[in-house]
Amino acid sequence: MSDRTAFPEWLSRDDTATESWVVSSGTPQRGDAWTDITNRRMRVPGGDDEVSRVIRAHEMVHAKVSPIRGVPTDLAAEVDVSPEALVVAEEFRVNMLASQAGFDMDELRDGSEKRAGELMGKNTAWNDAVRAVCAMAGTKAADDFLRGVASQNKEMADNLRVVHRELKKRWKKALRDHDVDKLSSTEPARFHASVPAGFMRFTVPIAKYLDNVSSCDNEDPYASDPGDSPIPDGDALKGGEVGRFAKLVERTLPKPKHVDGRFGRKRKPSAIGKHPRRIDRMLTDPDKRIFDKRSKSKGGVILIDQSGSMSLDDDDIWSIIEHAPGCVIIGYAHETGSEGVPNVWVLADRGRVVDNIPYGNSGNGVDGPAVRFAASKRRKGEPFVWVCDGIVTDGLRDSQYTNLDLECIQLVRKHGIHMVPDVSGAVDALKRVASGSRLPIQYTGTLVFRATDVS
Amino acid sequence: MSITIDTPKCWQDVESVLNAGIDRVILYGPPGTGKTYAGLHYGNVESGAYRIICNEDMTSADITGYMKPSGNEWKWVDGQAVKAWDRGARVVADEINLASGDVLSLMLAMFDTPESAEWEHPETGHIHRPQPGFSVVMTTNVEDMDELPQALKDRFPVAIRIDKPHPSALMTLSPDLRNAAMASADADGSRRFSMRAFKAFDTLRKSVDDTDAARLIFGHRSSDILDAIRVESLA
Repeated sequence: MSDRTAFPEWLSRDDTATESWVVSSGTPQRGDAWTDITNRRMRVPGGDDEVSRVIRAHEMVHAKVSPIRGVPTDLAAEVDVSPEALVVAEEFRVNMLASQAGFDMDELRDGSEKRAGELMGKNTAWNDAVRAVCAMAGTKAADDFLRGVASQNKEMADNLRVVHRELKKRWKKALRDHDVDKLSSTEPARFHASVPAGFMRFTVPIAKYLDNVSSCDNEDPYASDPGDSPIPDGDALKGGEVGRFAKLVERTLPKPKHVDGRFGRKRKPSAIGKHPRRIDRMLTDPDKRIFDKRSKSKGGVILIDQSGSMSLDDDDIWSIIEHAPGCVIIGYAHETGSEGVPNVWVLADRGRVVDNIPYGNSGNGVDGPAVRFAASKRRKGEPFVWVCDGIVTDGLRDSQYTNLDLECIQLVRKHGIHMVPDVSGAVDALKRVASGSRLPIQYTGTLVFRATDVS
Repeated sequence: MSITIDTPKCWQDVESVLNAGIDRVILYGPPGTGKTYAGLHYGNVESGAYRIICNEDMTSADITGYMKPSGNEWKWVDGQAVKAWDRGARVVADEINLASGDVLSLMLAMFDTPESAEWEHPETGHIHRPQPGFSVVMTTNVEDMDELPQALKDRFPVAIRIDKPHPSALMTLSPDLRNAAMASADADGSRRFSMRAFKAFDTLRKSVDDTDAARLIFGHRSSDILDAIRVESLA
């Protein structure tokens, strides 16, 4: 029986003293090997085969270059990347460094990759697939995985290949810009002493790229979700030029005022009438309510973009509120680049109204999450009016991105939203609702052209 | 990567103890860390240092002396301990625990306090006593001090476990081997490699390639060690 092992005690680091290690023997199955730098323990396969050898090399590179305490969650929050992305980006750096050290990382596969790809392709698990590609990037395991995805979902596989190529390109560029020494440096990073400089230099930017090309944030219920957000297109994936909306932060406002009124009309089934519009109810409704009865609805949802580009003042907002009695009226605007600053507030909630309207922040930044938030307040059949100039932007730079436009177009379609560009458009729309008209799906600004492109 | 090796605590302790004039010290721990070297060179060794390598077959002649034929006559030759006594020098006794019972008893007597220690020359009848400056450093590879006889431990008030090679010894190695030598000295079982192995590997690889050097020095571990050296070459 082979008793091959790893010798992490032969490795030096700038951020900790070299000490003896305890190395146990495991199997070459994915997930069986691990490295615990803090307690200097490692588990690696003890086989004499090439797969076991590259796994040992992979774990030794972790011992040589990775952060001592794993991926620090506080760092992830500080640099605004997800811990999951940091973990797989570090796997990528480790594999590439092992390759630089002369190991044939193409051998780093256990045969499960293709099946994993098939499952992710079948379920269109884009984010999971992006992370899997990153963890395997630069090895033949990634090719197996992509083949598995392609067998179930060709479009997704094509896009993943763009991500794969981009990752490899970024590694080559990093090697040109720095050198292996700098990419594997364990000197404490300049502004984040808890992690090595090499990690900050390569792993963090890669993690940011991964987050950018991912399309969902599971922790934020109003963030982009894969159903609304199509897989980013190839051009966006290449450059990582994929925008992300900010997280929704609601500011709760007191609503001491009370207004009453009806807004819009809706039809309800009735047993009395002239024209039987619900003939099916002859068979299904014990009360045989085959006629329609029109009644005025109290509610609806009005979402107001209060960013700088809209140039709305208090009078404009009050004008909308007065024309929409009993509606849920929500304002939003994001302070560009901020975190934790409130960016959504409910101005009126079915009759209860604020007495002071808060100033909007400078940018949009949170359009998608705000639409989802507003949709969550809407009751079935109620109109949804979105007062917005059609310029939707990301939370970080207040810039427009194709993927964000597409996401909003999907949301408008999904929720049957009627967009209007300004206050007068909003008032007109509200008057039409009040007179009983149904508002059609409508786009404004850039979204008009995008919607035409994708239809 | 710049190579700077801080002096490990065990070696700081050795220097403190010997520089303070403590004259009975046990250095114990894994082999190949430089315990004997320290005994021979650290502290007050201006009058010299005499080494005794203990084993079961040694006799009192190695300690106190023996008659040796010289031409037509026999001459007395002082043993290492008597030489050190007379010169106020140091005895470095390696593996004293391996000495046979009667030799151990003799050494206990020789290493006793200056007030109690004396030895009568069998030829001249001269009474020898340890001169000022006499000191003893005992080294052993035992890991548990309880394995040593109580009488021996009583004579050595300070015992220091040496689990790291001395930095000055490490600095004689090529930079890529220094940390490995440091950590390997106190590793478990088959993971342990002595400074001697590292020095031999370092020397050998100057004339043959790394693969052959590793094979000759580290045997069946050579492939794994070469892999570790590859990874170490990253930064």
